[in-house]
Amino acid sequence: MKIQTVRAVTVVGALLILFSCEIDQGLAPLRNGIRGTISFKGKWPENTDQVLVVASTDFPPQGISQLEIGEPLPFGVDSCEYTLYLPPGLYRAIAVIWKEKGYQWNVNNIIGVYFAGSDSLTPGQVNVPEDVLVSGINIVANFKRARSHFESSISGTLYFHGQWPKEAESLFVVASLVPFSFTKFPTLLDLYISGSLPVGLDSVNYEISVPPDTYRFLAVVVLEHNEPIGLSNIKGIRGEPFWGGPIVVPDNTAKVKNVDIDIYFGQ
Amino acid sequence: MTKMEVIMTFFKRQIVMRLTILLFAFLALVVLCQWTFASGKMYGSITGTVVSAQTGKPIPGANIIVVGTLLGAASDLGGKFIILRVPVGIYSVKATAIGFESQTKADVVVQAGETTELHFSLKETVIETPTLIVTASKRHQDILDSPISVGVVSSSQIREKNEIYLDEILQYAPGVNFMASQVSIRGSSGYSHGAGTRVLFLIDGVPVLPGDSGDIKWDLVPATQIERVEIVKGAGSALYGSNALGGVINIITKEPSLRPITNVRFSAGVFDRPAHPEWRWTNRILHFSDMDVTHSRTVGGIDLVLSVGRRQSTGYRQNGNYCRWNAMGKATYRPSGQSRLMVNANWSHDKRGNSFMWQSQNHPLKAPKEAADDQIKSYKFNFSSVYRHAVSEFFGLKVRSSYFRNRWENFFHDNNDYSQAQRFGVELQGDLVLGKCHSITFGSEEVFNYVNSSMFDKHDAYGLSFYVQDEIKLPANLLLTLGVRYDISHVDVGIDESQLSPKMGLVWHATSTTTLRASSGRGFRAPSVAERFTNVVVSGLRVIPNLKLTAETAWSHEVGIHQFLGKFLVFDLAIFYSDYWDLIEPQPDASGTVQFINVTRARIRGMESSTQVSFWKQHLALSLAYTWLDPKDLSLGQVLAYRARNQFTGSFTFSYGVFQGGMDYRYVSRLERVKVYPRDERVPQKVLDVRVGFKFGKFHLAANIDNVFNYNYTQVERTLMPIRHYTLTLTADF
Repeated sequence: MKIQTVRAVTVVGALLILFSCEIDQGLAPLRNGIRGTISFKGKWPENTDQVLVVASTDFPPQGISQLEIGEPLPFGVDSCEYTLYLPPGLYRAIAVIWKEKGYQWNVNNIIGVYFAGSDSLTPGQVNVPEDVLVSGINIVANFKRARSHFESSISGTLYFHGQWPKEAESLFVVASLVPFSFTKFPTLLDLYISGSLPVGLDSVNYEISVPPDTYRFLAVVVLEHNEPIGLSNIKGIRGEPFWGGPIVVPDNTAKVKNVDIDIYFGQ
Repeated sequence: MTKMEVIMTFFKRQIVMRLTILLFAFLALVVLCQWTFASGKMYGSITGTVVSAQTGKPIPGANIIVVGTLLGAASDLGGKFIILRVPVGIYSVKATAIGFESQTKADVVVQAGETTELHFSLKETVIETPTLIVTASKRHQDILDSPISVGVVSSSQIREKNEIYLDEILQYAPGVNFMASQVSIRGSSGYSHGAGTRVLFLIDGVPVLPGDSGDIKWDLVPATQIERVEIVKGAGSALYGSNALGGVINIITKEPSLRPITNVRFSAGVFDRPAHPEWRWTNRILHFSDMDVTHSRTVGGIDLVLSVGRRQSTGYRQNGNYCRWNAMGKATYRPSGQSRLMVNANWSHDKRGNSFMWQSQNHPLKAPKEAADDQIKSYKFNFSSVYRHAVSEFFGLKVRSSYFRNRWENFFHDNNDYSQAQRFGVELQGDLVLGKCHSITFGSEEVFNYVNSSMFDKHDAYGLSFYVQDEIKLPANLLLTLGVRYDISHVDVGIDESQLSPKMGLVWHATSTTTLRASSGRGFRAPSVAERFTNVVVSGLRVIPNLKLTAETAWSHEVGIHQFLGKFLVFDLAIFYSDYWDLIEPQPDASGTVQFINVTRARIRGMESSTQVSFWKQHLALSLAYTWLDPKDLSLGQVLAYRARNQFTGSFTFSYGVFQGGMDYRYVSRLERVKVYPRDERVPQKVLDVRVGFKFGKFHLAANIDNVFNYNYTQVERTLMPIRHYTLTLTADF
């Protein structure tokens, strides 16, 4: 009797488990996303492997893996329509990224960014609701930003003085191709951005991958969670016009070292 | 590099010389032991039959062992057996067979020059539980004497699932989970795209891992050639060394038949349409087919089995096509009553499409445009031999040798890498029985890897190890196991490492129906060549080498109980806890560059339970298993990536006369953390397979529907797993 009871309980339990499992279809096509037009400026480089639209919920994105990636855009066209299906949510950056044949993806090969108004330091944000394709997300992509493979970089140490802001969440270094001005900010497409660096330390080493060029200044940016880049976020600067000369990266293998920057919080 | 250069390199490393010295040492040991043990002894023999108590029919393949010695035999087709050269004395003789209760005859008297006859009449068991295993202690052992959890997938379970490759079958084994084709036992492994494995893979007890990638090649042995699979769960490095960090999977291939027999198996099927119409990527009917021909017979005292098979598929997704050939040969020869030589060879050739990920979630069955014609060709050849010699009733020796060659070539739009890896291995093992309550297993293993690759460069590696395991039966039905293994390894770039792996286990047969077990052991895994030396850019991702990579280590502990509840229900419960140090994980940086690094201090604890129940005169059988994991990355304070917290499998089988049917269900909870595309939508796995079979004369017809609900899921990011497909299989024996 006892055994029969155990058997019965086992069978009934198994059936209950089986039928209590909600049988659905699992993954399904996405119905939500963005769409718009990409206009290309300049000549398509011969060494183009792919050009595609990417979206990130964070800005700046922490890496390639943080990006939602669309399908490759048609090669050689002056402009094209695109649709990028995305999970619902707020996207803080939408961009066009270029990939060179034979090389990996590089976040510094962004050739166009979606701006809600005129070009600026802050990309346009797009909220993607469920089951809606948000249209009008048009981007201008300039192949001048498409730089062949480079291993050159600028590196150094950041020294922090004073108390870190409590809300500081991300830290990175930007290298600008245009001079610093209190009246006219460079746009995102004038900048190369380092990977995210740890916050809260007394000093930290950085390295920023940049193509060979003359960089008018480096800036240290400290952001609160998803805060847009602005003058108030620049905590340290090195370069023109008052903080040393420009930083020259002579060729695509040059490693410019010891470009150290002091950051004084509270000043 | 030419073949001659490969051979010269091989000689340069003096491996042949080392192997020769070891072989001579072994032969000298055999001669010495033969002389020592044989002098002055008188012998008799034991013969008899093993039959079914219910039907009176002979039971072929039953194991008959003389308890407390290394002597034994297997019954032939007529259920007859003979054990030669049994020293004069009084013994207990035990007969075991899968599907039957074991039976022991005590006080069996063997007299000089006489033959003692025994007749075993075994009762059928309601639940099919294998009694003898060979993996947990590197020798025949009752499964309930193992202090570490061992799962067994039997030949009937393999046959019922009607799958071609073992990885598709093992997904239903308790505690076993897959990330694409990468196996994880109790959460030991994450996902590293085929670089290295934390589960050691054996074929008939001989390690088979390629020297370059170091992962498991599931296509090497088709499931049709497998007799059973033993899965040892937890760190097994104390006997098996590197790679056995999370466990061991040992494939026991089918033995040659004792009478000439030819088996033909033909299988064909189609993939259904995708669940969502917009996912359809072709108007073609997507199909697959397999054919195997196996012949087995005895020629001049050598038992042979030869098999050849071809498999092809259009794939269910774009560029998922493949065409594979497999061939296999196995021969056993008994030069004397005390010796047995087994030789095993496997060959496979594979040409298949490849795409690392889907085009998008809206086109998951399409490959990225640029990768739509990417192909991989691979060739694999494995040769192994196992020579067993019973020097006396108390001392046996085994020599295992192996050679595994793996070659592959990429024909990708952006990559034409190739790799060729060769692995040579030899192992000497001694089994010493010191009375009825004490036995010792000891041995030495030597391994040499040579890799020539455009992706990994040219490298060779060498490993040498020694191990010993002591098993002592204590009063009150206790069995104590102590063991230790010492491994040293050298890699040509100047990396030298050594590892000491101890273990301890205790089994208590509390009652005739209750067995308690506890074990603790250390495991380690040396990095594979792929993890240490990969330097490649493929599909936009870059992987760079790491010469500072060191071995990862673990301590595994478990306690468990195995409980019979009457004849109809078996229950097993294990609670386990593993600590990991320097866990090797692929780590992408912000630019997407991946490097394998010793990144993680981790801990995995959990529980695993399994139940088998049978009723209605054995016509219905149900097996259920549930595994709960708490995998934690202690370095980051997060859940470990690519580990599912809950896994449930259920299998229901109905059989009546010539008809058999059943269903298998698998639930694996949603992965809480992945590394490459963490923002991608992830869902749990809920897969139901249904099967029916019908036997008529020499034929067997089976029909399977896999993924009945056409459920869409991924195991790793951006790779949709097989959609619903239908298979018909016809098997015939002549």
